[in-house]
Amino acid sequence: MMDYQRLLKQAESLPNGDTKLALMEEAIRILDSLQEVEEAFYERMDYIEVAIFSGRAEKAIVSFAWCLAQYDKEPERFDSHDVMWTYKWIAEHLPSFLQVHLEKVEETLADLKRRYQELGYKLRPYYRLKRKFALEKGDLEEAEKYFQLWIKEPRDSMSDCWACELDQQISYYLEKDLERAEELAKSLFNGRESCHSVPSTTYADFLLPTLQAGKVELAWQYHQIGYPLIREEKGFIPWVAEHIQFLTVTDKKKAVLLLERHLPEALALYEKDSQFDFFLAASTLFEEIQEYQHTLHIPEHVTYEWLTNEVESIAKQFDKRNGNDSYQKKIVEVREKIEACREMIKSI
Amino acid sequence: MSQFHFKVNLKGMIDLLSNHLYSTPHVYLRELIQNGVDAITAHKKVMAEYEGTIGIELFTSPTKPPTLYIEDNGIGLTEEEVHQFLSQIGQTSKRGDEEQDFIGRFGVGLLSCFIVSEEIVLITRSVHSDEVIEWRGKPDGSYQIKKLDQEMSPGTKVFLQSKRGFEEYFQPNSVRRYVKHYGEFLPYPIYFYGEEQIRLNAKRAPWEMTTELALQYAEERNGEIYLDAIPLSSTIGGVKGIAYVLPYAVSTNAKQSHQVYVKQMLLSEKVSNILPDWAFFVTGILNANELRLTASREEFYQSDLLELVRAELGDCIKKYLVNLAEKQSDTFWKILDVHYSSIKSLAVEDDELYALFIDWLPFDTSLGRKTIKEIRSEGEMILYTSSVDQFRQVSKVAKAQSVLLLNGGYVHDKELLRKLPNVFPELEIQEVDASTFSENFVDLTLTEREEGYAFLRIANLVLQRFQCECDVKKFNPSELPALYTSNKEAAFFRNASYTKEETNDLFASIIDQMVVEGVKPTFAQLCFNYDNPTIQQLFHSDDPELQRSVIETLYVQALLLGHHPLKQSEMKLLNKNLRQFINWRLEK
Repeated sequence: MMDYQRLLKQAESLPNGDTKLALMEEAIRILDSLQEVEEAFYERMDYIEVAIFSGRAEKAIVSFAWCLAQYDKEPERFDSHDVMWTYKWIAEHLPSFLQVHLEKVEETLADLKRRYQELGYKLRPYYRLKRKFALEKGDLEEAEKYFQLWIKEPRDSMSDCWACELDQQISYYLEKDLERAEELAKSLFNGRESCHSVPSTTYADFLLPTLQAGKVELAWQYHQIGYPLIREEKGFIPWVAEHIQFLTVTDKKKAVLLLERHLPEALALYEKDSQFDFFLAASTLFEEIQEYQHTLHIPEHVTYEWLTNEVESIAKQFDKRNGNDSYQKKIVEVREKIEACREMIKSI
Repeated sequence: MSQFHFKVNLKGMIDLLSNHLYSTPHVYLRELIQNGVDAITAHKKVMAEYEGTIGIELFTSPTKPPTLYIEDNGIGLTEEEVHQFLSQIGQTSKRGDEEQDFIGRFGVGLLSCFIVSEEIVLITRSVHSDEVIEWRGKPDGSYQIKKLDQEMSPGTKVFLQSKRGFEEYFQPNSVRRYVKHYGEFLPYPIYFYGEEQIRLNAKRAPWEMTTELALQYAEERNGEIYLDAIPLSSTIGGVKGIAYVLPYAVSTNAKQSHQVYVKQMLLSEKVSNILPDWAFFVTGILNANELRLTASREEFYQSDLLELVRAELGDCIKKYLVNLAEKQSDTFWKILDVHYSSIKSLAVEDDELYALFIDWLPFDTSLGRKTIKEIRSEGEMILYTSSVDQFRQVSKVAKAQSVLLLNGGYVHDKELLRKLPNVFPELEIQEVDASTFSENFVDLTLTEREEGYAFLRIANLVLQRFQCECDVKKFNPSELPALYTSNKEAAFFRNASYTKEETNDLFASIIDQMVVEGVKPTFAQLCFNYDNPTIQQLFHSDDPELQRSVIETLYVQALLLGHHPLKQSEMKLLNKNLRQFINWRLEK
């Protein structure tokens, strides 16, 4: 067996994560040096998926850039559906990187739109991405416009899976209409629809809204079913943050366990928006446990002061890039939400 | 309002059963034997000391299709019971508190006979009555009952004539084979009446045997020589079994396949969910009494109970291995030799196993393959690289300096090494990347530095555009002219800039913003070896152009040694210099 095949075989048996990525990277390096373009292309496509599901989008983006270039050189040699499908993930993750300028995100979305139109795909995924991006910029009007365009556009083979689409529609309703969201989530929670990340993320998204509505027991259920689904996985840091928020109100000791377990992954993230979510959850937890902060099994430099500083600094940088104040608002909102939950529990 | 019952089309149901529920028409044999076994078990409840048997015979004639005959001396049915149980689908005499004692659950077993036959003829006498009842059922749902005026000892006889086209399921050889297949380990004797009476089932099941006998049995039955046979038992699931250790290595994600019996009747030879995922290095033969089956009776319901049973059986395997390790038996070494990679993956997850096995597990090191025990005897500081690539970069140097360096790049190795201090607190584990390793190289003296000043300046100038810093030190082996080292960030940076050259403008600018602006540029390093003769010559050359060409060539060579794909600019470098060397030669 060739060196790279041995590496790939080993990688195959591993769960997503850095070790798996490292093995695949070595295999791809060998393929590159052998000038095996086709093999290197398909290995990279696999690698991109693993990188995305390991919370390492920066690696996925770099590899995708290479694949896209090969595809553009010889479109008939590679599977255009594969490339365009992966492009969605890439476009989705791009705004998470602070350094990437907004106009580059716009350009990428325009490029994706052009390619979809040329290949005859419906623009459903494009509208969804535009909506997400509008939210990022804090432009609620535009977000609403693209939400409507998105759900009206017919589905085709390029559309996201049902579970993912439902999940995103749920998050649209979650803040304003919990009942509607619960209705939509039924087919996710009874297992009829699912995919890699749904309903794992859906459970987490429901935690605080459910608690706030006074349904404590139901919220616990969501935690007990939802957390095991992401405990061993990488790339779910924003949702782990939601579980930590929930536990900060309901079970601090357990919140600390989650913090200790997932902190290393959060610290190593390049995607600053996910890091922001985690640090924000961690800092609210730290407010509660300051007296025994020193007993935690975490790196020494991670203290309450450090976390709040980081949260504020990341928020400012994002807001500066996005030209609004939505991240700094989010800090206040999350704190208020947690406070509201706490009041709710007291009143019961 | 009137109430109606909707009609179920029995023919349609049978079609459903035969085409979708059961995997082969041969299951009719299993269902018939099962009814026999259940009848005997029920009989034993009222009369413990009686001996139950089942008999099978085939009647063939040149003019008529073959007929199968099966009899048991079980509890039998009264007329009332015949109406109740044989003639209502979904009804079974095995309901209620005693359900656990029987194999059947669904009362649909007899229906499977209609897959191969147009009529079931059943003659029965209950232990509770003297009446002999004949029941004839047809696939359209009609049936007739009559009392026979004859003598019969308690029990049940079934006659089944083959449908046209299904004769192959009535061939003596295949009937014998399938009865044996399903019922080899049933607790009551099953006889086949032919020219002579033969017993079809075994007298003892493997899960009732000692390890030695079980191994011998497997060899006789399948010609398979297993490394060992591990006894399994789970009280909650009422499971007993044997896990045979495979004599060849299997990949960690290979699909498991175990032969599983329920109440000693074969369930399937391909059950995968009865043992934990990590137990891929064994193949089991097991009997379960308390686990629920799906309607096809070919799989287990996925349930919490199944989870518990799986864990309990997993513990059996673990404890057995632990015991072997403590005794240091030959078998232990054989198993380790074949399955060390499985055991490694086990040890990552399980602290107890880790403590027991870690000393005996082999690792790749700069000084060859060694076990942790051997590695520990070399000293308390353990150095390892986290990738195969890093290991490749420095293992030569490490070897030349007799430094023991472990390759933590392969599956599980890194995780295993990091856990070492939990078991051996005196050990210190250090991840070494190539650049930290090269810090141990011997610095040049001041005069040596002066001597090489011009050379180093040129080298840095030449390689700056490749984000590579140069240095000169002394290190072993002296045959190595230069060592290229980089860490994770430098590797990512290199990969990003390699991609940037290839991709379109949009993504090139995105990569620029993401990587170049986001990550502080870390330089890779090229360390020249002062002790190397080529470098010595180069040091003292007064031809800057020659120095430049050789430096560039050494750089490319070092990259290739480390399996780094060349950027276009580096490829050009190589070509340009080769031409240069040829020209120089020609000019002379």
